[in-house]
Amino acid sequence: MQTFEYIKATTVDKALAGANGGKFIAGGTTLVDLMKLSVEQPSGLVDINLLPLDKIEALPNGGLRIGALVRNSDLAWHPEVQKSYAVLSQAILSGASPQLRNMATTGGNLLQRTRCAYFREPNAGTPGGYGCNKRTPGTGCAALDGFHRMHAVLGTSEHCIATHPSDMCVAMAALEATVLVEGRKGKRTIAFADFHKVPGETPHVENALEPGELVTYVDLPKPVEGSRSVYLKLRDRASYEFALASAAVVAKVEGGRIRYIRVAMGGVGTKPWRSHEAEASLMRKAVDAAHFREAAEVALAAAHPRTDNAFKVELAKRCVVRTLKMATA
Amino acid sequence: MAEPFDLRFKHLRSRTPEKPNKELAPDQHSLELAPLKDEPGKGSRFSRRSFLSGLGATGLLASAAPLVQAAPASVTEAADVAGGAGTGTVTLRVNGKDHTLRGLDIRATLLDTLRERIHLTGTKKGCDHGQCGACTVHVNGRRVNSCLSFAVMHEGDEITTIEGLGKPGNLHPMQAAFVEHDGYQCGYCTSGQIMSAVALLKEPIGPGDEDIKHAMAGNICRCGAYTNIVAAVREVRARA
Amino acid sequence: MATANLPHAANIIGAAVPRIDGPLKTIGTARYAVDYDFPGLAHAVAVQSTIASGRIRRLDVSAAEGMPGMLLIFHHGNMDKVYRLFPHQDDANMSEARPPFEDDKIYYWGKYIAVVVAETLELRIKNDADRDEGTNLPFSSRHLKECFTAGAEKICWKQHTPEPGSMRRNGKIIGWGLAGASWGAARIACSATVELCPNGRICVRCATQGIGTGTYTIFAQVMHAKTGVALDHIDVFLGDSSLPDGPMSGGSMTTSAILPAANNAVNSAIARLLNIATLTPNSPLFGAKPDTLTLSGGRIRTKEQEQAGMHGVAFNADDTPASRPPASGVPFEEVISLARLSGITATGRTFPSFEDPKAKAYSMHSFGAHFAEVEWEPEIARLRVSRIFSIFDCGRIINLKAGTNQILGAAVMGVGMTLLEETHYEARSGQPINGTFADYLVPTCADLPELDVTFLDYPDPIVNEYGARGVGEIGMAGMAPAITAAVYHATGVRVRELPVRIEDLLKSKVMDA
Repeated sequence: MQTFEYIKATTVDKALAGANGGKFIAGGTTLVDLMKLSVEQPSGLVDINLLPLDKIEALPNGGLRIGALVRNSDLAWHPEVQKSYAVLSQAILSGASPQLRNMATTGGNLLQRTRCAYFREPNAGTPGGYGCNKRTPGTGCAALDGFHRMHAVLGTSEHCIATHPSDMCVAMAALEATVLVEGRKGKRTIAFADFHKVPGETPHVENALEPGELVTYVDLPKPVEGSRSVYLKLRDRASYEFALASAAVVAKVEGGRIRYIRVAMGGVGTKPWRSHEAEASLMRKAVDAAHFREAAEVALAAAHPRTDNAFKVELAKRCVVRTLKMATA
Repeated sequence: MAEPFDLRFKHLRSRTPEKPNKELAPDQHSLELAPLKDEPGKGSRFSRRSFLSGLGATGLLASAAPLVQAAPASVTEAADVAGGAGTGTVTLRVNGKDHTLRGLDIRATLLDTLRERIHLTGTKKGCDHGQCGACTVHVNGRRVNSCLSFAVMHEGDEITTIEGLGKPGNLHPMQAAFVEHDGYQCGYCTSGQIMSAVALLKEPIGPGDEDIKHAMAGNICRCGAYTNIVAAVREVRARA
Repeated sequence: MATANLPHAANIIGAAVPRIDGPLKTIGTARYAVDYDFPGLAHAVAVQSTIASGRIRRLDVSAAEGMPGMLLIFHHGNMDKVYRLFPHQDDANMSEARPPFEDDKIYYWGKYIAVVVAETLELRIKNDADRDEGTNLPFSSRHLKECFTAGAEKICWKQHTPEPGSMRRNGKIIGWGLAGASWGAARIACSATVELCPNGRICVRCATQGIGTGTYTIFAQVMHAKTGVALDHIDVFLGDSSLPDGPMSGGSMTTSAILPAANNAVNSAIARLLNIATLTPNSPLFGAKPDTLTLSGGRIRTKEQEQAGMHGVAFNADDTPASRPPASGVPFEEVISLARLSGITATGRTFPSFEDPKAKAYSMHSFGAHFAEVEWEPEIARLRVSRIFSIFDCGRIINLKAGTNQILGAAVMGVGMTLLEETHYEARSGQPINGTFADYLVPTCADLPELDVTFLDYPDPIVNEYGARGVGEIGMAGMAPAITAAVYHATGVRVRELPVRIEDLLKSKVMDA
């Protein structure tokens, strides 16, 4: 690991001022991990753990403002989140381990990086190492013809098929959260759908942040009256594993028909995958298995599977169907 | 021979609680090595532990602490080392005692610092990447993976390690329950298991065995002693 | 392929030609009879006559037909017309001049009189051997059948219905599978030293190691059993190559190796102690005959005193040994002190079974059976192992906690082996590309099934004086087959390569209710 300058910031301004070429560190569960692998080699670290961004507060519009430094476990255990945004609590609790959830923060979880084995190889993107366009543009993608069982089937390109690994983000996509950021040029908001980027031809660009910008809050909109939300995660072992396929559903049923629906998928996309196709398919439809299956089919219709991750297409469909069932039961 | 130890094997430890470990003999616990960096006027002594710990290019640490079991009070402080680029001074409060660490490499994780600088080796390194839980300690009462955090970030925090939970003859109830229920085989994951188990007593998890199993899923046990670990946790929860 | 080296067409006769069916064998895709599998595959066992000439008067199949797993019993009464081949006239050859099931006559010893088509458990129980058929040696001790019957009882195997997907509970499909386990046993070399110390403690020394299987405690248990000295006054030293030679911790053999050495050492040390007690001038036992003395509770008493009800060791209410009772007898350390000795030491050695003509006359193994249950939710292709019952015949178990823990751990390892663990080698670089705890999946606590372990605890009279063989890997033998059998029973998918993956299970045609 390369050494670095370390400062501990006490205010957002100080954090932004100290960010030259450096990175913000909060829980460290992504950054320290990747620094040990030489995937991240920041010249400086700005420790933001003391910033006053660790609260969860009600918003005047009935929504919820989550500080970027709220620990994942605190967010998942918060009574208002459990009551009105259950999918978010379930998603967080399905991820990582209790220890990691105590360390990781909202902002950090947003910014976590792919688990692709090639991306995480110290030598990837370097001469003689595995090709990784995300590490070094133009060096190729070793996963395309390599070990890609865990990789994405949606939002992929010939340059990168790496899955976005977060569960929290899938729930936030379904909840249509908003990300608040602050930089030297001031504050701005980013719609959740626009925060993460698909790889396209620039896999090294993963999100909408400008250099030096700090995530300060994530806002959740007012919960939809009468809706229920569910997160379901499917994987090989019962815990402590990233999703093979997951789904977040927010649904409102009235008179046996779907009146409000949001569907997002995890484990299958290069970014948290909101499925407008599934939503359109379900709107106003009667609650039954056939409609759920139709929605699942359209949700995965654009999938580009490869040999070893093709099973994810069927698995994701079954996951969507079951989650819809649970959310409308 | 009146001693419990055969003099030929004085470095072997007694298995019985009443016989605490003896201190290492002076010829046993450090190697005299020439300093890797010339420190005029500072005749540093290096222990094998610090030499082998690989704490970065500037990690030349001096320590005269004997490897005493579960007795942080007797650990001596690391001697001053000239700070170089990438080092700092930090005071860590571990098991209720302050340790001022000078010349601490910025890149040192909390785990390595606990083990190599403060000589609390009860916390184990399993994977060094937050994937196994062997390094679990408490920071301000919450369980975390100490391998994924830099030591310098923890000034002002209350850190508790396995050594801070109980002592031979005065075990924490969770430690006693692990003994009673045989909650270990090789024992390498056990520190982390117990730290996790104690922390979960204060977490809002459900009442059943399935809840315990999921709450302990962040501590891998390759020996597979989970059944007895769950039994130990179940018993302590029932008593709490 | 050496086609380039083959001679011109006509000269192929007599040339050294690589087998054309060879490559399939080298990549494992050549099919053998036992490799075939299809839905509904059953097993057939012949019942053969035990007389060479005679007539079947009556064939009572009612008991067999009532057995769980039975599908059908063929015999001459229900077999359709049986056809023959005319000797030397037809193209095929048949070794049976008189095919079975034609009539009720017995023409030779071993003629088939019935063919039983059955489910697998019955097959195993019926085919239990009473001799090692490979070496033709008697078993030292074998209770495999009881492992199966006990396990079948525990899981209620009689409720088993063989059709894949036919059993359900709480909305999930249940699959049951079973397998036997066998693991060789032996007594390997070991030495140990026992020292009776003047401070009332006992030291045991052996170079074997304690890796978490319970070895330290086994030594201490033997010392306590022989001397009555409390466990907290016994020091066990292991894991140093300067100590007496000891075995490795592997092969489920450590316990059987260390027991005789420890036993012999402590017996010798006690013999010396008693002898010295009678020879030491100030000793209260001076002049007594050593063979009238005994050591219990750490005190030397006469056998009469022992028999008169002075129990060697008192126990607390929780079965832990109490400190020595203030009863009769001379504490052993007093004798050592009076004799002005620094201690009394003796070494014991284990006589390996492969050097022992008595042991070599037997086939020694541990046996077991696993009954595994999985829960299958086809809607989300989720399979979990829910329960495993493991019944083991490992000889006598010296420490029930440690022995049980080995089997419990083996069950967890079995879940990993069967459902989760696989090393992926990067084809281009040869690197194990999933070499981290996150990517190579071992079971977590959340994957833990309900586990039930039973030891039959029959001492093996040949392996050593305690009858104890050892417990370790034995627990994993048979675990994967039991689970994959259960997977088949739940899903109808027979997976013959481990791990069983979601990719395989997505092929299941078994649907939710």
